[in-house]
Amino acid sequence: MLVVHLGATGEAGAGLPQFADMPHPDTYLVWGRGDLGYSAMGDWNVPSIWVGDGGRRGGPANDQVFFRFRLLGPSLVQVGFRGDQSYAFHMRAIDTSQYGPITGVWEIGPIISGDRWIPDVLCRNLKPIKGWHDVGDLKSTIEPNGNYSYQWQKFYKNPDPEPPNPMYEYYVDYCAFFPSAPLPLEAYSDDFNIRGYLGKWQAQPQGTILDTYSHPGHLTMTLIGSGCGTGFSPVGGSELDLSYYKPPFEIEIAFTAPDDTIPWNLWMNWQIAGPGGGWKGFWQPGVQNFPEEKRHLFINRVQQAFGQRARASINVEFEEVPPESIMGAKPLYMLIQIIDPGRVRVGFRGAPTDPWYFSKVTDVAKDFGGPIAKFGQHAFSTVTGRRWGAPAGAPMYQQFLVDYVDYRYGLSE
Amino acid sequence: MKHMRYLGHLLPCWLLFASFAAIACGAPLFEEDWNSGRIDPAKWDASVGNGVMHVEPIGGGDHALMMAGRLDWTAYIYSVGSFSRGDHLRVTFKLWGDERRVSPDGVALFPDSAGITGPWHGSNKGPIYSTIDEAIDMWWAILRLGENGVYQKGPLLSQAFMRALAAARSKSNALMVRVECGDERGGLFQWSTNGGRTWIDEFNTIGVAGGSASPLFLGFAPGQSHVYIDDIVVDQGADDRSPEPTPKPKPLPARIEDLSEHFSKPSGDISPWMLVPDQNVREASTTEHPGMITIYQNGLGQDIKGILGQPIRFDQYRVPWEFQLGMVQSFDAMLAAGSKTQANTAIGLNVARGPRPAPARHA
Repeated sequence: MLVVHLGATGEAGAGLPQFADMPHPDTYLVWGRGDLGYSAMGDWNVPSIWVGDGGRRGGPANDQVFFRFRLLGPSLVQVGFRGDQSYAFHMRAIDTSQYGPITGVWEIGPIISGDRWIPDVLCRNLKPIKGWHDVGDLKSTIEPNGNYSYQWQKFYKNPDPEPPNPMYEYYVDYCAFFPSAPLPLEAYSDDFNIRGYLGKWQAQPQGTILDTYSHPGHLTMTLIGSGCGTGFSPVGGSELDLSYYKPPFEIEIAFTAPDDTIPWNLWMNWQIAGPGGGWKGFWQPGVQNFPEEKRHLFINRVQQAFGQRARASINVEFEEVPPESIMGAKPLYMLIQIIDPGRVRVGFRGAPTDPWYFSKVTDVAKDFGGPIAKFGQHAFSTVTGRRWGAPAGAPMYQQFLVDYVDYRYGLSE
Repeated sequence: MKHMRYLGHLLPCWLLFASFAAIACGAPLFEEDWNSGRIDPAKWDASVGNGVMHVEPIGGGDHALMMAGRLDWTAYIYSVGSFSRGDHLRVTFKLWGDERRVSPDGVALFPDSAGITGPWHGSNKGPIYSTIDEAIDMWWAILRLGENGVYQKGPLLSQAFMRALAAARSKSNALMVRVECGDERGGLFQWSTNGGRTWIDEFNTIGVAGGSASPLFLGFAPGQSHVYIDDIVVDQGADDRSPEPTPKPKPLPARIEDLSEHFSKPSGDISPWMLVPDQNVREASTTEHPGMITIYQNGLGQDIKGILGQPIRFDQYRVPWEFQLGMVQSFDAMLAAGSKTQANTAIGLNVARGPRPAPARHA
């Protein structure tokens, strides 16, 4: 599975205009080659954008490109591509049953074309968009006196494609393996200490940018500023089925919120299913900041305004409201405990050496009506703007810095 | 024409026309390292013509044959003895050039074309270009030092070979060439940039095309500029053409996560990963741009793959598992900086299955 660049921007060479659908004579493709099934072969039609001044961006024309392979079973694999690490992969499945059961993966890793596949195979299978062409455009001139003149450029034969030129550098950023969904619980954990690496995560693709390079050691979630309901979740999405992830277990997140002069909120977004299946409600345990009241409140669901009690399908309560000395801490540490399918608890602390400030153990049957079978959606989330049920006033470019998320069996005290 | 013949009339006929027939497979039939310091007339019949040819010290007591011609093919050298075609008859030798424009003998050399022809000929008499067709019908390797150029008969030589030959500037980085004669006709032309550890098939006409003459003679002729030949060995080889480099297996870790690598070790260690084929990896560095591997190709016309030392068995790790690969595109290639034409690249994910199981036998 390849990201292919053909031609040149035109700034430095004639390029391959015959394949380019834009004035610059270069083309980017996501292309599947080989003989492992047909569902991933050929042009994936992942477009790039003509920037106009200097070439293309987007998709396969991004500086960084990412590939994903999943071994799902003895006759099923998936391959995928993403051109931006913040967002999901474009995945395609390959049924390999025609070859018999998979006995192993003989080779896996990066590949850099060095042979004549590009000119001799790929380019002979691409449809030329242009024949002989003018090299630039109608060359026009507006003189100071307002007169307009133009001159046609010469027509040129399309250049023949060349094999890769060994003068160029190639780069491999990372080769990472990990269990795939359903992950072992601990495998959801991440301390975000590998600068630039986001392999296990993805964001809502609207209004949100994730990175691990702007604040090293942290996942930075930047909100563009549009009214949104967004967040980050394990790549490909996930749900926590309690028949697989058997309680007790707990999830800890350490994060530094945006400035307290703005309204912000961060919480775990869980849809809940009962034993009979079907999603029956939401539980969104987290923290919400109200700048005018100078208060940080524990929430089971985001509140439109301070003091409004938004009911969730599970409503955890504290004996005493957690104090500002804890809830205003930066970073803040939040713990969600699934004690068993019928009981949950939440805790906070302001420093890693402090004791947890726990809620009451909550019987989920009280509001939900029975035990929990699955937590779906499973994304650390936030909302901004009234359309998403949050107070107005969230500015552009607010950032959450997540130091770590830690999933573990057992319960802290 | 200056025609120096080290004629065998001074030597017994049995030696002149002795055939270097094989006695035991693998034992050299003929060897020449030039360390006698001269062109031995018992082994070679040399014509200097309008060129230059002598055995030259190359340091450390070692010697090599230096040849320079003027593209008129009057300078050449033939083996006196012949070799019987069969049993994978082959010759292996080292080859390199330099960029001198005037020979030590004061002969002006044409600067823009240099090279060598050979190595197998159907006769050791007459102009060298007339005897080569009978052998395996291949002319090879006219190179312009520093650039590419080919004058040959038979399959086109690859740009990768021409680049590798142009890059060979001394014995320490000499190109190794091996040309095997088909037992009936044609030949297999191979080359190596790593001292013969691995070989690249340049072309193969064995049994398909090319001459079928036997016996055969060795012969070389320079085109222009300087060409050095050394360590010539004729033997009869096994069929060992171009095996894929065999990665050294390393035990796979207990956790699949431990196969991950972000290439940030300043030592340059990229294990458990390796890049193959190693002869096409000119450079692989984790210090050029820390945090990733920077790779340069050697221009040998081969894909470079990053692989683990061994396959991952299906039952090796809990399924499902996944692999993610991050790559960065070259600024210069995206811009095509440095190219007057185009910068075509293809990078991505390689996944290969193992060999298919043999079909079930039915009783």
